[in-house]
Amino acid sequence: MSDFPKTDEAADASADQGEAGRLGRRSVLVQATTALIAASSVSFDKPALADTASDDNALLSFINLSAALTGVPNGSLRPNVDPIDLKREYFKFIRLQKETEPFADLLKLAPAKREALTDAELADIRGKVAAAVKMNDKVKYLTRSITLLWYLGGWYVPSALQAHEQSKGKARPGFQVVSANAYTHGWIWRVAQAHPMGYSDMQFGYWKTTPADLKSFGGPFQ
Amino acid sequence: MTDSRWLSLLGLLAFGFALVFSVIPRVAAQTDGPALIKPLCNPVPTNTNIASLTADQLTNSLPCAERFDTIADPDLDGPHRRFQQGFNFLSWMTFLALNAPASGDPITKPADPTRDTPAKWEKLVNFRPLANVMRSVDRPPTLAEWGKPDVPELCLPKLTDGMVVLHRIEEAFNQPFKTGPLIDQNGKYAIFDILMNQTMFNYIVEKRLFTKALQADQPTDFIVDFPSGANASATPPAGFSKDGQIGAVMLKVSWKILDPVADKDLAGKIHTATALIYTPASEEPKRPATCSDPTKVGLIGFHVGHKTKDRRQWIWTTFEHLQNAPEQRSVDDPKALLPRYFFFDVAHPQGPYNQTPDRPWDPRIEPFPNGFKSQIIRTIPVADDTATMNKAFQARLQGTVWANYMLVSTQWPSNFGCSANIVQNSKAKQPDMTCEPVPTFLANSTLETFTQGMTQLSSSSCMSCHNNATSYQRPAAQSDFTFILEKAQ
Repeated sequence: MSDFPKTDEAADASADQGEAGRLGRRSVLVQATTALIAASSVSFDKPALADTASDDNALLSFINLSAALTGVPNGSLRPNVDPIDLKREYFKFIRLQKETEPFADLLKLAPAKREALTDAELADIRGKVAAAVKMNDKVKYLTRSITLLWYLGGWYVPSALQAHEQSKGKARPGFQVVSANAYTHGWIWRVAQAHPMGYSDMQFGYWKTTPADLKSFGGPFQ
Repeated sequence: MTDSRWLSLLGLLAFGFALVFSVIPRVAAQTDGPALIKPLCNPVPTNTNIASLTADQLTNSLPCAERFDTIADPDLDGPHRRFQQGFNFLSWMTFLALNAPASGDPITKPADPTRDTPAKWEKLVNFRPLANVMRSVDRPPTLAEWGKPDVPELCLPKLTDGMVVLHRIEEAFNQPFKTGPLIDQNGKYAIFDILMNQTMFNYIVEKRLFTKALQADQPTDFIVDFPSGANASATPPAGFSKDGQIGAVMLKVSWKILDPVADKDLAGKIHTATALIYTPASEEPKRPATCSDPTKVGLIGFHVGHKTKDRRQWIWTTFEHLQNAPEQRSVDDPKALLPRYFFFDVAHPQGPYNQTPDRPWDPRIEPFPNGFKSQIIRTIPVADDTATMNKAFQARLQGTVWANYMLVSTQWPSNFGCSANIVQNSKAKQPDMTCEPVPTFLANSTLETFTQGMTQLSSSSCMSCHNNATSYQRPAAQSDFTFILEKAQ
């Protein structure tokens, strides 16, 4: 695991790890949340990334950043063949949203690497994100929005998440489900080894047997 | 011998002659000969220049399984295009091998607009209609029956060699999920038919899956798992030979009734057959069975489901005639419209599109009442890469009817780790038993007309839909991506 700062909950989550080094569902969610709490020293006042030929690299950085934030392997976020293509859908979607000014600089924290990230690389990205989050609340809530987007398929406006936290949960943030695919392919379902309400491609009779293993659902998550 | 005796003898001889020749189509088994489709388990490389494909390659190359030959695509999306092209190539070679003339002529032989040219798949030595397998319980199919006709008595007197017999049961005119019939611009119902190859037939017979009762009697741990095809390999996996083998292949085809006047211009542009359309007796309303006079029909849609060792969710191919229906973008740009379509009125190109006609749906009443004609558009355009491949094959097939057909797409399971190992109902579970189909949605405008689109759970996707197929096994279980077992009586 990385040297990414851990809360007590995160430490508990590490204790949940099996001998194979895989984390349980709860710990994955806790780990993802932990990633959001961290902070960074990168400047975040530069103009947004332009739509250029470097988009492929920017997309790769986005996937790797997302892997660090969510704990989902970058290869699972970007399968070899990807008919659903949520990565591109989310990438474009975020760039069109308000309050996402730090996004371009956030991408610079993750390498544009196609291959699987090593543990050291994941730790490096998380460390940089943690430092950035400390410096800038906009980064903090944007990373939280991105994580929630991957897990829930819905977009929470960063400032609404901030208001939610500052009001100690009284200000409930609204959200926008990005698309039908975003809903059915939210990672929350996979981490929970379950399926969304109203949609399943699982085997007939799955409800009476134990779920497939986490690897089948895109894991191991870390 | 008196005149009357001579007359009696002649009459007897004539009767015997007629009897013999009327029975021949029912009992004559086709076991070999030019009509037989011979699988090719060393398939033509998928990076072959299509223009250079020989007539023999185009005619006799039913691939036992998929293969991929082009170099890896450095694009961010990985090998998606390479795989799609490989599957599309398999689809075209399959389509041509199945539709090659049963006479043994090459498929590149120019069309003869004056006569039918029966295709190999129409011959019972290659494919058997579903209606001839899932019969009444008192007539179980047997292995020895393969290749032999099974024609309703009512149709026998009208049957001549080369004809096809279409059973117009509800599934033959009402689309999946009973979404309705497709009515052409002449007011006639499109007709659908389902067929299977010998591999599927043998499995059904050997495993005794041809009646509801027999399916229900299967052991609870019985898994429906039709044989898979495989290419030749020096190191075949267990259960496969070095020479490879053809796996289960099923067809669903759609026909349009050709009007001698209104469709006269289609001569030489559409694959034709002469059909006897058998409509079984019905109880409500009570009506007797009928058998039409010989009727000229044209092939408008062609589905192939092909199970292979590494694609146990099957590979799903669908072809259409170019004149079935336009795409939305052609409607938006009238210059792009063809002069006429079978299911679209060019003179009145406005919608609403893809509407189911009002009930009742009774194919005995044609033309469809109140002048209804389907106004159909293809809602998902053919992908650019597929269109490019279509043009190349169509150019190679110029002068034949097959130049007027196009591949809509091929759907395949994209998660290869999943697709090679997952058997429905086995313990090898997956979150997605369809192993992530590509493309996600696929429809033939004549066979899934009313479920075209890109809406999850309701739009047409071969694998997602067939993933829900079950048999009468108890407890209920999936039936290996085919609804054929559900048709048991």
